[in-house]
Amino acid sequence: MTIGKKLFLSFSFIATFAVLVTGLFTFQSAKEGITKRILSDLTLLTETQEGAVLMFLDRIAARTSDFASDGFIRDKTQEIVLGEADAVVIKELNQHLIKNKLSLENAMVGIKIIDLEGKTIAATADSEIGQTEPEDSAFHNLLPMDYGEVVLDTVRRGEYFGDARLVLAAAAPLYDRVGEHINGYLVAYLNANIFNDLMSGVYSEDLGAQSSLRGRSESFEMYLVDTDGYMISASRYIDDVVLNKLITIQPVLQCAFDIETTGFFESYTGKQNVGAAMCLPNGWTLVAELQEQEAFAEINKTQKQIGILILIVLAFGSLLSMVVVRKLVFPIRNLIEKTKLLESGDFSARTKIETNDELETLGNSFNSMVERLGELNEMKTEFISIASHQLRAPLATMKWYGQIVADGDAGVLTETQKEYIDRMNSSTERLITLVNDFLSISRIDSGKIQFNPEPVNIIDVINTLVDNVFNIQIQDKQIQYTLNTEKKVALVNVDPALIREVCSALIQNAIKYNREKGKITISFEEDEKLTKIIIQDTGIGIPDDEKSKIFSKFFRASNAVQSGVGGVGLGLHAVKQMVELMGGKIGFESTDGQGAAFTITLKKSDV
Amino acid sequence: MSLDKKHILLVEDDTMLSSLLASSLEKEGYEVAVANNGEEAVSAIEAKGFSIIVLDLIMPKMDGFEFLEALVKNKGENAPPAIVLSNLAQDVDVSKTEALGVVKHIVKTEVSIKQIIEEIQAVIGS
Repeated sequence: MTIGKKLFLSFSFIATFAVLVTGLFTFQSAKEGITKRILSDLTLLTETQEGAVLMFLDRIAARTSDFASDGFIRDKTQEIVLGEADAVVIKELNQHLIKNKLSLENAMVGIKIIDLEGKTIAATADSEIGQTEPEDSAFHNLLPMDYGEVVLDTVRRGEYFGDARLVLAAAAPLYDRVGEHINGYLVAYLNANIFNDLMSGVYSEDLGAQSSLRGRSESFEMYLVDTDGYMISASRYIDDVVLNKLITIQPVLQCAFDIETTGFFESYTGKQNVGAAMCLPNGWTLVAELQEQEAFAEINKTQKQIGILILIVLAFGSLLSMVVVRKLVFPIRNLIEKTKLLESGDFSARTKIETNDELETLGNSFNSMVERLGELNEMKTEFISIASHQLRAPLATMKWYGQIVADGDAGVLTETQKEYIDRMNSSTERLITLVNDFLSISRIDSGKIQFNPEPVNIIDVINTLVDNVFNIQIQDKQIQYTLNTEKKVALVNVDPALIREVCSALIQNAIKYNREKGKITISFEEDEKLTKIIIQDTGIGIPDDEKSKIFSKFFRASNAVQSGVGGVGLGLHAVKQMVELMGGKIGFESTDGQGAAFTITLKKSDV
Repeated sequence: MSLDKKHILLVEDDTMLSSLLASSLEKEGYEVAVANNGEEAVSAIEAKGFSIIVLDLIMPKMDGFEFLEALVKNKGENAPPAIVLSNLAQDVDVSKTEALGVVKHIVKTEVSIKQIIEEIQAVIGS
């Protein structure tokens, strides 16, 4: 992974993590706070409203009880029940009910008096009289009640007092004057729509909490549910819901166990709401709720904001890391580039880092270092040039003068003189070769050898060497030299100077370590792409345990040292380097004391 | 100036070598002038024309490279051909001399006097 990516990921991770943690924490606390506040508001509200409802019910009960204690009503009822009353009495009673009772309570829609069989014997509306309470009516079979006791029915829908109404009935016993015998019941009917008003806050005493909730919230509502689970106040979501919809939400169900719920639940509309419920002593449930989504709208908005914030942070993070990449990574990449150049031998590589920090220092150090390396490199080249010149100059003199003398151009030579001068010339050649080897090694070591391949006729090279350089030595040692050229040998793709040095070294060795009157055979093998040159001698060979070291620098095999033949141990090392530089291979076979055969494998020229 | 003899300018600071080479060349029928360094060679070139220059590289006062540069600058196309005869054998040196327009770069220790004469003959004839 690049530094840039690493940095970007780190930044993003840290930033996102920080924002997430902070955000989550803040979100959680805020949500908790808001929840607390909403629930407390709702609880307060429901408590207040419960009070209002109960107060109202109490008032109705008190009224009904009060009516039922009325002497006139009791007397008349008794008369009617005993059959002592006529139509006039009934009418009187009705009027009394209407004028003196019904008028007292706005919420009442009618009052009737029923006998013990459930038949209406007097009422505030004529239509009721004579009707019998239906089987399922609460007042069909009333159990004996005490004097002053009131029983409240549940909210019912039906035809009452000449109209389709929603009513809540309250019944109280009509005792005789003595207080021993119940003659009948006074049943007062309330307009149950009153509960809508209660729930919608018309009669609310604490306007504070409710109005603020109502004002703030669109989904807020408060309603009553009766003991059977039916809604008895209007819903803002469903029309005509009263007594038609069974409410089975948690708070209502929990009131069966007298547990008052505050919290989150699924409302009758199916939405997720937050609300509070009061369990009324008469078995009703009062619920105040609003949609969770709305209640926590702000929090949710904050959540979204945090999401956007994270994106912004990420965007910023990438921008920032890009800037950092530029500042940090680009100089580093530049440095890497220049280092690669240096690796390939280019000493002119310099970096340009101007970041005013450690990288700039590094860059400057690098530049100094490269300059120094360049200088050293220069010095090496110079040294080799100088060494070449200084070592070769006297050798050139020796060679040329030696040749002039040997050729007889400086005077006629005696046999002995000729012999001696020839030997001297031979030594000169060996010394020249040695110097060349030294210089080659220096160049190879400092990486200065250039390899310029071209098609070379290897046979020509060998012939030139043997005829011009090694002819004397071969004669002196009476070597039997054979060059096997029955087949035409292809041109090889090599550097002419290098191959000359290689062959020269191997032939030299073949002569040096050979015995008197020994043999040297040079032969060739070819396949499709390669040419092999095999130089075989009958010399001292290479001992088995020293074969692995034979190409090492300055290594001379023990038998070579013992033989008294001169040498520094550079020849084969240089040869191997040069052969490999030309893309070839060198190998050998040898038996200690019997000779060696060196094989050079070279690439054929395509020409 | 004899018209039938070719004139060779030999630029070499090593007197042992230059004397041997000069006498060998004269034996072959050439006229040889010797300069011991680049400066003398420049003067010699100004003074008279030569068929070929045989040039050493490492010399005091002005070396072979500098001389070649001067030659190209002063004479350009009209400069006589040059063969470098030096101890320097590195590729970088050979490339340099070839870039400066020499006909051949010969390493002293690799050749015999005979071979040098053959090379000269190849360029200017006998």
